[in-house]
Parts: sequence; structure tokens; C-alpha cells
Amino acid sequence: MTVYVIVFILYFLFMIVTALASAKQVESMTDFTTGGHKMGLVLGVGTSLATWLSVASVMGVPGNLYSRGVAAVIGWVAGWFLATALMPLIAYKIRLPEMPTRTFPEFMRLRYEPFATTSSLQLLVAFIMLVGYFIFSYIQVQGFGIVFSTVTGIPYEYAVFFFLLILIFTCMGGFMSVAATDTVNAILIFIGVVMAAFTVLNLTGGFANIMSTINTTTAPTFEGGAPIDAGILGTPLGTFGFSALTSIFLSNSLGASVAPHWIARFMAPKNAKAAALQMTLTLFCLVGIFIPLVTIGLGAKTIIPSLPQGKTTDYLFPMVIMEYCHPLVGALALTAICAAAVSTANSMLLHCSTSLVYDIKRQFNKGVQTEEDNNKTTKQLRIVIFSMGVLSVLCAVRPFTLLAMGFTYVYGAFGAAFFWPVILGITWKRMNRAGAYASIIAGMIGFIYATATASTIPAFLVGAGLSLAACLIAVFATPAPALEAYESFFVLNISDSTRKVIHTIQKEIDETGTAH
Amino acid sequence: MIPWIMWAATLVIGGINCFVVCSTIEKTGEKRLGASGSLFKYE
Repeated sequence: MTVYVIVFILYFLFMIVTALASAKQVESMTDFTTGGHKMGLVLGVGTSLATWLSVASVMGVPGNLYSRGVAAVIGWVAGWFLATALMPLIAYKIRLPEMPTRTFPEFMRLRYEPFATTSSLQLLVAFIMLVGYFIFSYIQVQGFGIVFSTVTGIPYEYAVFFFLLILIFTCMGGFMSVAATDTVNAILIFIGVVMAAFTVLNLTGGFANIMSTINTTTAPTFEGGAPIDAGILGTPLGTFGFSALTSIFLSNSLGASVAPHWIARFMAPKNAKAAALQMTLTLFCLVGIFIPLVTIGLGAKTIIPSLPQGKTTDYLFPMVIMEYCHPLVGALALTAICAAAVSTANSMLLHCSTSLVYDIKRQFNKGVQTEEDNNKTTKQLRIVIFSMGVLSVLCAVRPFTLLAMGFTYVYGAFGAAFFWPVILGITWKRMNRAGAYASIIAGMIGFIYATATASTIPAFLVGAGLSLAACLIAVFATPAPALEAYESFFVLNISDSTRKVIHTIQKEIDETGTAH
Repeated sequence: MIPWIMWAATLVIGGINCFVVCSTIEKTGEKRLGASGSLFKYE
């Protein structure tokens, strides 16, 4: 226990010092939201890796492998890997403009409503993001609480409140603070899960033994439950139905590939090539982390055939670590999970508050934003991040979903609403404002309805299918967009009129064209 | 086998996607896009 506490304290001190140091470097609104569009490749890969390594992956994936079998490799691992594999092209197109946008809603506004004084599309997208990222951050707090309570013995309901102690400091730094701590977290997570996987391999006698157990076990997930069919954990569908697994795979692949936080990540690199390479290198680095996670999840079925009553599968990873790993290895691995939870929650809360302050409130501020206005906005962002953090903690006291599944629902909703507006927006000049509205509204309604009614057709297919149909009808029924709407994403040297439109949207010149 | 094959296929897709994008950028010769110069240096 002492080793765990020492490692935890050292880690938290590191996070606090980094955040405070980074807070001094935050100079502008762009610095706070995207790090000033100047991120190098190493930091970009580190921060992208850590974004994937949240509690949903580090704790949720092993838990799902344990209860669902190798089918979870299709649903989550192959799903998220496919999302990352698709990202280089999207990243290139998003980072192509000479003056990149700062947030995802601002991207949607530039592409679809470049001349609007107040963009209702930017407001709609920001609102959807606000809800989605609140759920994401709430899930991270839940993961943090599970680990913290497992390590300290403090009941979960109280453990979640320790999250706020760290958030007070980490919300000071903005984007670069998140990026810097993310990179170290990724390294820490890698060391932790690799060492834990070796421990599992050692305990089980190797991967062949692990698969042998998976292919024959009848042990229920929880003690006292009904035995499962022998061999079901080794089948491609596992304990899922075809429709459910397809929807999970599509939500985690197509949905995640256009999730607004990833689009925002693509705006941060110093150029388009760095943006594309960042995601490809991340893809290959992830292999080194997911092989250990798969080993831990499947191997745990040999070590602990059934989990105690009263625990969810999300407790599996910390339980394996605490019971079977060397204390130092365990402390590293669990600190890594807490690191993932805090940094990802911080990142998600940053997206949440940026939506609220930058994309919603700032739109109603008339005229040009002065430096004083921007400083005020940055302060407001910090206050909102902390307030949303408090709200996340209060909600997390009573968890309502498993970690990985919660992520999948949000990715599915994002994908159903945003997949076509993003993909067609960067690849098809004819894509217009009416198409974007129709696509977002139809996709969101379709996905929520299919999920709520447990449709036999995969929920993501219902949402994305309706979204595409509504989009195409609306696009062909309405006029083509103006040049200023799409030029940045298709042409290297943009016209003066497009440049002026972007400056006006970012409130850097007034309506008369005067720069400030 | 299906889950493992699907996982491996994503790596192939990612590699091809990156190759196509980077080749496109190099063809433009635009330094602003990263066609030349360091990708690592923080500027």
C-alpha cells in the first residue's frame, strides 16, 4: 500500500507542476484551444496515444474481453484501430487550410455557414459536443473512482471526489498542458500494461493456455451466475448478437474517426503532413499497448474464472494488478490508469468548456475580440472546466454504464450525426448547409431511436444511413455553396474573400475588414 | 481467426492511407503543408 501511495503522490505532483508551468505559457485564445497550430510530431503522437488510452481502453477493453471473449477485439480493438487508420486523410484535409479553424463547431461554421453573423449550425454542433463530452468526462471520473477506491480502500462514492483535487491545478494550463502530461502518461501506461501483461503470461503459462481456457471455459462472469456455453468466448460473435456487435464496431470505427476531439487534434500540428503522420505513427504505437491489454483481458479468465458479486467488469484490471502483480509494477500500472483518467477527463472538459465559451457564448459578443476579451474568455474557460468537473463528479457518484460501452454510445451518436457532414465536407465541393443540417438531425434522431428501441438493424447503420439519405436529398434540392465555404479545404492558395471570411469568423477583423 | 485478421487489416489500411496522403503532399512541394523541413521541431 505504501508503494502505491508514494507513486500516486509523485505522479500528482508532476501533473500539478506541469500544469502550473504550462499556465504561464498560455498567451492567446488559440494557444488555449489548439496550442497555436504549432505542435511537433513527437508531442502529437504522444498526445494522440494518450487520448486513445483512457479508462475505456485500459480498463473497459480488458473487462469486455473477459466477459465477451475475442469478439471484443472486433468491437473495440479493431474498431478503434480502423478509426485511427482512416484518420490520416481526414487530418490532412482538416489541417490543409492556411488559417486552420480552432474548434470543431468553428470548422462546421466555416464550411457551411461562412457568412452568418450568428451561426446556428455552430451552436447546434457545440451543444451536441457539450453533451457528448460531458458524458466522456463523467466516464473518466468513474474510472478514476474505481481505481482510487480499489487502491486506497476508500468507498467509490467518496473516492471520485479526489478527482477534483487534481483538476483544480490541471485546468489551469489549457491545450498544451493536456498535451504535455498526455505524452508522459502514454509512456507510463505503456510501461504499466506491458509489465502487467508479462505477469499474466507468467501466471497462466503463456498465450496458448490462455486461448485454451477461453475456448473451453463455462465459468460465469460473476460468481453465482449461470454457466456460459463452452467455447462461446472464442467465437467471433462471443456473447453479442450480430446487430449489436456490428453497431459497436461501426460506432468505434466510423464514429470515432470524426469525433470532434479528434478533429480538434488534427488542427494542432504544425502542418498537414505532421497531422497525417501523427495518426499513422499513433496507430502502430497502439499495437504495443493493445497486445498487452488483450493478453490481460483474456488471461484474467484463467486467473480469476468469475468476478465477485457487486463488482463490474471494469474492476477486473485493478483487481488483477492488486492481487497478482509486484507492488511497484502494480503502482505503475494503476497510476497509469489514473493518469489516463485525469488527463482524458481534462481534455474532454476542455472540449466541453470550449464549446460553451468559445462556440456558444463568444458568438453573441458583437464586434472584434480584443486581447482583453480573449484573456477574459480564457479565464472563463478555466472556471467552466472546473465547474463541469464538479458536475461530472456529482454524476459519477451513481454510475449508469460500463466504461467502454459508454464511449461507444457517444462515438455512435457523434458518427451518426457528423460522419457525412465531415467526410463530404472535405471531399465534395457541392456539399452544402442544408445537407449538413439534414444529416446531423436525421443521424442523431435515427441513432437514438434505434439504440433506445434495441433495433434488430445495427443502430449505427440506422443513424448513418438516414443521415446520408437526408443529406443527399437536401444537397440536391438546394443551391451549391459559395466559394468561400469550401475553398480552404480544396485549394492551396485561397482568395482574399475567403481569407476575410475566416478572419471575420475568428473575430480578428471587423465587418469593414480592418485587422486588430 | 476473424477478430485477429480484422485487427491486422486495419494496420494495412492505415499504412496505405498515410502513404497516399504523404505522397500527395510531397507532389505539391508546398513547405506550408510539410513537403520539406523538420516535422519534429516545435516552432
